Amino acid sequence: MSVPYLQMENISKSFPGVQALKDVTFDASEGEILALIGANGAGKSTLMNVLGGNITPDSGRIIINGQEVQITSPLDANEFGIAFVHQEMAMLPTMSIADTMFISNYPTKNGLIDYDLVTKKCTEVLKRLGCNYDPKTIVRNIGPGSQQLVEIGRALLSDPMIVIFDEPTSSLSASEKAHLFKVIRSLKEEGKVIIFISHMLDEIFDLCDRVMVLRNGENVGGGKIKELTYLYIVRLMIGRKEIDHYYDKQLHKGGEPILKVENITRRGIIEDISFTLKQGEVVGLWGQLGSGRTEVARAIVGLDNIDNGTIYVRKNGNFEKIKPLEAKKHMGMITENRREEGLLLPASVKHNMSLANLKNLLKPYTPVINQKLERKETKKYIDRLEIVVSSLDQKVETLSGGNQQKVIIGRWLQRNPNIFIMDEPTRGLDVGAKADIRNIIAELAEEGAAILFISSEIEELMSASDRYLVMKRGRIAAKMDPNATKEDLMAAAAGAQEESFA
Amino acid sequence: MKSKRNQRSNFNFRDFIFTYGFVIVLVFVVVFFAITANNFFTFTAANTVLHAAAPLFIISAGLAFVIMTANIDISVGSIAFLSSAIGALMISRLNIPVPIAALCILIAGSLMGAINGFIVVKLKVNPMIATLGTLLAFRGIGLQLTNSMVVGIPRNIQHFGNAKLGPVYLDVVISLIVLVIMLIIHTRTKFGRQVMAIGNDKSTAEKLGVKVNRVSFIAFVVSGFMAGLGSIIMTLQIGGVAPTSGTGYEFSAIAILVIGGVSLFGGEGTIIPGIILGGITLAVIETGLNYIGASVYVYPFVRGGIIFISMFADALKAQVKPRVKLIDDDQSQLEVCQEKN
Repeated sequence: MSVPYLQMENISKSFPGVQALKDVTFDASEGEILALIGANGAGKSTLMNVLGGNITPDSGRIIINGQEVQITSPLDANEFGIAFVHQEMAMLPTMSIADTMFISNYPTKNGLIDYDLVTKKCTEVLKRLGCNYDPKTIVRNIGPGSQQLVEIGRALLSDPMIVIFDEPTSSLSASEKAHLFKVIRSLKEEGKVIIFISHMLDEIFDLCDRVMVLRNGENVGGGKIKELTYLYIVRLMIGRKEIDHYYDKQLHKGGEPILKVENITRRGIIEDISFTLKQGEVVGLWGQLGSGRTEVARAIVGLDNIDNGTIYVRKNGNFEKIKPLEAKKHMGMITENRREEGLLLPASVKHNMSLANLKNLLKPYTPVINQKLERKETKKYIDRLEIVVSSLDQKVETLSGGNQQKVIIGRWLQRNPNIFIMDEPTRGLDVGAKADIRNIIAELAEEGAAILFISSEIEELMSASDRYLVMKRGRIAAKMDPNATKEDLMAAAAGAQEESFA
Repeated sequence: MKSKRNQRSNFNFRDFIFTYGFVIVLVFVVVFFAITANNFFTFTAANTVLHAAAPLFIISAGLAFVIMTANIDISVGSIAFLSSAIGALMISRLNIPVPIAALCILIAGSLMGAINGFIVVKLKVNPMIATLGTLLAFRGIGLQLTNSMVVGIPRNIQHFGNAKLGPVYLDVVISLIVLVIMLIIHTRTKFGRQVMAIGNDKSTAEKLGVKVNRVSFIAFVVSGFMAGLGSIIMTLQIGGVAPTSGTGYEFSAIAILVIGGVSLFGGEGTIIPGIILGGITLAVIETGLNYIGASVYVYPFVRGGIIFISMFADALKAQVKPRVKLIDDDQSQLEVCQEKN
């Protein structure tokens, strides 16, 4: 135990134009969970890719179990007992769990796959993860939490000593996460070296023993997690001063109700959803992944058909019933996956931002877009949201996640709706960008918009919301006022009693 | 409780309907013809249906691998024609022994498959367009070689085409054996499984260490080889090669596969029972039309309709699938796990 199992010394790597890693030195021991944390672009992935053999460093030494090693390919890494659980799960939906785990390294007998051995190994590994799925189960039929376990199972097949988890929780619900943590802890007890990469501080405090913070490719500090505070780590991560109100909140007083949703039902998905949104308030919609939060947002905006229920929007002082397809006229929607559903990645910032508002940008009586007006409008919102772009014609795919998200917000602002539905607007953003988005939400509310805010991070949800709706299995399980505590929300979403979904 | 759950997740009624919806159609079709056509339900009729479908079974089994990688090969009919033409010419003009000619047919088919694979995988041409090109080119070469004439093979080997093994046609038995071999390749070899992985998602497969280009290329070669094998039976059945041999096979084969639950979007489907069910459905419909004395002009119309409907069903399936989502599925699974710990 005296010498750490894994040591990386003075690792440097530069890519054209960027120094991705500067003299990073760290170590990790057996039976220890080391958190690796840092904003997007801080070099976490680069560092782990060096360890995983995907990137060869410019300089530095890697010492495993007292011996200096050269890792030049993922195969080498595998040989030295390093396994990587990637953030993006590599699943084969139409195939079995066993196939998904073994696809490129089936054991064979007489030229045929030895399925007896595959099944045996697969069952073993699943059991180790505390799961008793039949290896023949088709991956499509299991939830994201279980898929994550399959992903981990694949990494464990080679019986590694060092396991790297790259943001494994980003698509998991609270209970799935709890299970994953249990698995990681049991790996720790087996004496593995575990490196856990995450954005989420509460996870790190919950799970890890030690933390190392990277900023701009440098190891800027860390230490035993018990001796550190949230604020200290956040400071290390973003190195800015203006973060003292990171977890502060200012309550907005709700004004007149402007959106009323009654008994929305989509059979088998969401049931009997009713609530109102008032002017100038942020309502947090909390629930575990799969509880139907995203589906509620989609149903309200008319992206999915509903079987039952009505939506009312206040127009000129009166509530008016609207058809699902008209909803988009009144509301701005930010979907949870901006790259797939929110943006035209290869198109310019300008085109992305004016997309929802083209009708108002036409030259009078023609179908021709007034380019000057388009530029002017776009510029206005770029300034207002402080989007960092080189020009209006920069391609959206080259922007950072935070700026991409702002482009989407800017698109809806052009239309000037007074209702916003935001589904995980901060997903995958770094701490700074998250704070920006939260500030924008607060500003919108102050200007009188009503906002339905969905987030998987409970701290963030609580820091932004004025009141809460808690969902459980497709229903609203509770409505809570601003005094609700984290425990209240968690309890309501987890739900003590078993309820079948009729 | 555990085993009950597993059963539930292994058998999904909705998946079943989507995969074998056409079996239900088959039942209706058989009932319809049984009522409208006399003597439809005889052994002889069934034997004839399978006899006629034998080459298509084999061609479909090869094409399946290409389609399961989410590519397509519409040149299989022309591959069958050209390899058949080569074989028939070798036997009738050059007096080359039949086994060697048969071998040459298989090699020719594989080569043509390799050309398709090269164009699609290496040159990165859209597979539909690439194989549409080779469809025309291979047929053109074949017509040139045969001068657009019928080339017959000697009588003494013709009878193999209609030989019987006991009560059933020999080629039906052969095609079933071939299907079983392909089933084993599909489900029990690395190649077969990796074909499915590519069909699920190319980049995921790549990430998991599957050599996507190589496997996709081999799938085309397999398709060509099987088109060659099918063409041997086709040649024996008709006693030679005609300028129209193999015409429309590509669409019949695609129809058989799609009816049998092989998705054109890749990654889904089975060799057995998929191809057998699909093949029988298509054959029954066409034979049935014959029995009730439908006009010849109805055939292409019906076949086109079937292809359209099966592809529409496939597209529908692809749209609906992602929404098949069990909210509490993993939740309770995890609870089971947690109780255990």
